[in-house]
Amino acid sequence: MNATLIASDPREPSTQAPEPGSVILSVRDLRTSFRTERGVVRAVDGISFDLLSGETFGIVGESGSGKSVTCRSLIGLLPTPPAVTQGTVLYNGRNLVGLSSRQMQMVRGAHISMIFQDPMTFLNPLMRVGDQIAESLQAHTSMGRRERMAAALLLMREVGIPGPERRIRDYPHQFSGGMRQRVLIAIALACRPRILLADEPTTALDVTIQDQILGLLLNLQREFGMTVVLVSHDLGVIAETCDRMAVMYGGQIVEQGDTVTLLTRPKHPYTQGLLRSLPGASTGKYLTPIPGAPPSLIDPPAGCRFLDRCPLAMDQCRTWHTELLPVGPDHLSRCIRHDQMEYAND
Amino acid sequence: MGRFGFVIPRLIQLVPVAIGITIITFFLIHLIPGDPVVALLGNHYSDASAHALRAALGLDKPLWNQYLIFLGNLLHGDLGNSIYYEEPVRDLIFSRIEPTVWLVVYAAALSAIISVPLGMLAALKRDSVIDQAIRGFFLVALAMPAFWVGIILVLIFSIHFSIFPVSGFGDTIPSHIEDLFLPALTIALSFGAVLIRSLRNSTLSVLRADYVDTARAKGLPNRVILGRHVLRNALLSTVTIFGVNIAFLMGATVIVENVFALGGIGQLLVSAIQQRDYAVVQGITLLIAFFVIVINLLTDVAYGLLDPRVQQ
Amino acid sequence: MAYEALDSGSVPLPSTAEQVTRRRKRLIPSWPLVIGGVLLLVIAAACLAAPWLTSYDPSYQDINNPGAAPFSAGHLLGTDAPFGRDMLSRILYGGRIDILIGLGATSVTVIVGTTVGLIAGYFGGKIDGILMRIVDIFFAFPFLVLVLAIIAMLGPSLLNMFIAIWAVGWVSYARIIRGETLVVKKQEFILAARTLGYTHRRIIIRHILPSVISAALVFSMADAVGNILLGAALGYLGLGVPPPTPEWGSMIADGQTYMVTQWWVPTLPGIAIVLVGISFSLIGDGLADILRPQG
Repeated sequence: MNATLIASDPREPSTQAPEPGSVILSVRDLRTSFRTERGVVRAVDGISFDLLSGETFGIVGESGSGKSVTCRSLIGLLPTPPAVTQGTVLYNGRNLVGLSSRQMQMVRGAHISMIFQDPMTFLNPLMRVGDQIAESLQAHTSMGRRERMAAALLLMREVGIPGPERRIRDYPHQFSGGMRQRVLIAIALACRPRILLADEPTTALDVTIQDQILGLLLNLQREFGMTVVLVSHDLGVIAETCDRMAVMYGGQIVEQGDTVTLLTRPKHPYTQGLLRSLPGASTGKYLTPIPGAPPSLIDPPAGCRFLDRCPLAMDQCRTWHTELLPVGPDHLSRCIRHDQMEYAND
Repeated sequence: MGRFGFVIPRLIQLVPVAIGITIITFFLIHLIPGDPVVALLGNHYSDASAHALRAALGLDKPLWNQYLIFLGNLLHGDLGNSIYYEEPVRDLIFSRIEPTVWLVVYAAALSAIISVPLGMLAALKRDSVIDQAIRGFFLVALAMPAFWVGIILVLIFSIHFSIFPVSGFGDTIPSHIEDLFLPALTIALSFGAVLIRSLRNSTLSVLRADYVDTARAKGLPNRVILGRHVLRNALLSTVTIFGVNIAFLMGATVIVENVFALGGIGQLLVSAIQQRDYAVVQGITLLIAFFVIVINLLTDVAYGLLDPRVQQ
Repeated sequence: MAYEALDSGSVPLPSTAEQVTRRRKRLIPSWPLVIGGVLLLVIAAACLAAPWLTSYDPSYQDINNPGAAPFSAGHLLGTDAPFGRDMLSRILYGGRIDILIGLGATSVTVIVGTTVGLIAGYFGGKIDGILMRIVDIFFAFPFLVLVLAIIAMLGPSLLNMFIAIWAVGWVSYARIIRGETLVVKKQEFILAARTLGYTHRRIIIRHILPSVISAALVFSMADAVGNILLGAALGYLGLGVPPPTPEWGSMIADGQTYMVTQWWVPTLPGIAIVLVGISFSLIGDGLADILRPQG
């Protein structure tokens, strides 16, 4: 099925499908802050990465690390009085930061889509499921109602909802959690976007369903040549699905690069800490959680933000204005002692 | 039955409350200090009539027996007799009920027209000057006695500008609409003050809802999001907010009727109190309470029809 | 009995007091609270100090100046018609009744309603069912109508007004506090207290009450406004305190006949009611600000 997008801004350069492996989205120095009663919260404090067409890119971090805010900042989905986003998000030669809301509306859903964590609250309880899927098509295409509903039916089949003819007129509460997430995916994919942002898509689901949904996402990605950004606090999920990944802490990326390399020989103590705190880590019988708590994002410390919890911390870390250092081919780390890390399996 | 299946349990739940209402209303008469028969007969007291009344009400029988007699009468539509007007209470009420019905409907409609859009606007423009102005206005309105608001409105519109009449109900339908405007507006301002916080909050929670995020992520224009996702969902709770507060509307109606001398059952109630016409007081109180629980039931039904999650 | 020895407050339980202390560290806890509080104090003080603020007796009829306009004939707020009684003194003396109603009626209903709500919410089951059913029944009556009916039976007087409001007004608190109790009951520190063998009475009073009382206090301000309006309405309808005691509601009723020519007679008492009502509302908003749980 080919949905012709009429909503693309005519001033945009050609929207030909990009070469697999080429840079489809380029983020440079993305910063998002919130004005609150207690001060300015710097939720995302200078993030840069490239997204390659066709890949699955993972962002992992604790709650409060800024990973969800990053996702939402890419398509301007934050309430703008308290939130301010700066920096560059380059897509198709244009910076998405600073687009007018009308222009942003043309990008969302059609070029870049997003799916969220809890499918129950993210679907309108008063609208039929089929209408919610077709709504995306109504906004971005010139399809008539019959065409849209036929397309919605097809989409429901693609995401693996059994008996879509019967279910297309059902309401969200009539679906199970896993099925609802499939509906959300159908909504996101309706206009065949180039990029899919998935913010903790499986966190609210049963473990058995999680695998199904992840599998579905990967299949759909392959089939449509989509690029997927997968955000999760679960390192296992990222490890299983992502080609490249970034680790976020305290509003910054502390390590990024190829997944296998990163997870077998991490070059940042935080990443290593995360790995060690997984059950089944080879360090022994006990779980070793990372002691301490994440820093406040209102007045972040000048030096390394992981300082208080880092086993490798030294005086220099306090004053070093951290930056991402290249530590290997396509591997960056924000740790000044990256070459002194020890590995249990050496 | 299908879609209306959920009504049956609600209807059944209504019965104990209805019975409770009759019990309270029954006990009202027994609050009267002294001999109830003397009080009930007032100026018409005579040994013969006292004897007859005592027998009819069963006042020499135990309390629960009296209640059953009362309930029995009620189920036959017998609300007792008015001492002052010398007619059955039921007939008296029916002859005076028209202005009240008009006023209640009119006031409800005006309240909706005024407070629903303002509540939604306040939520949309949260914390802005408009929001604070709306909330400030209704904060002050909440402290204004309805009867005083009525007088002020009359001062401004009837006396100063001579647009609306000072009192009265009118004889024709157009005159009803004209004469009832100020009373209905008075009630709408008081009622609005009670409703506005809930209306604003329900719109706010819809605006914050996750499914609005999904709608934005789809790239829908704001106009569509507001109309299709926000408005519909916010209006749903509006039905409940109105229904739940219906008792307040009735109370305000009673007062305002007296301010504007509209001749409805609110005015009848007050004059009955002044004339010690206890049966009438009892009857009107009962009627109003029943009206409230019926409206509550209808509100539940309406909500059930509008919210697909209810019809399981 | 042995457990009594353990009770030295050693189980650390959060309380409203702690939350309030955290908030008070700011210099002015809450603007509405301050403004409302000051306003109410000024008005109440003025009404109490009436004998010193005005030389006129509220019943004194200045027959030479009936219906005098404000700032004329030696009367700051004018006089009423047709009696020529000084408006300022009637408003000040009348305020005593209305403010008394606000405070007196509300304080009893808070206590009774909160108690019922705590019991219903804490014990649940049949007790809850019965109590809440009674509450539902009361809620079917508009408060004004039921109060009117009770006063109809008992006869109009200030005391009967209190009795009527007490009999009817507690139900709102019962519902609110029951809801709050249900929430608090599920929290873990209650489970801990039960495990320690604390009596129901101790748990309710020491551990649940502090958490739910803020809801009652905030609502009591709105309730006070409602009771004042209710009292004024009764006065307006002629069912309040008998004349010649001044009361704002009855003053408005008296003035209504003369509103065309002496607009101030019904208007000024109403403004007084509004000011008192606003002050209570502001205090309520301020309390809600302060007592709102942080985070």
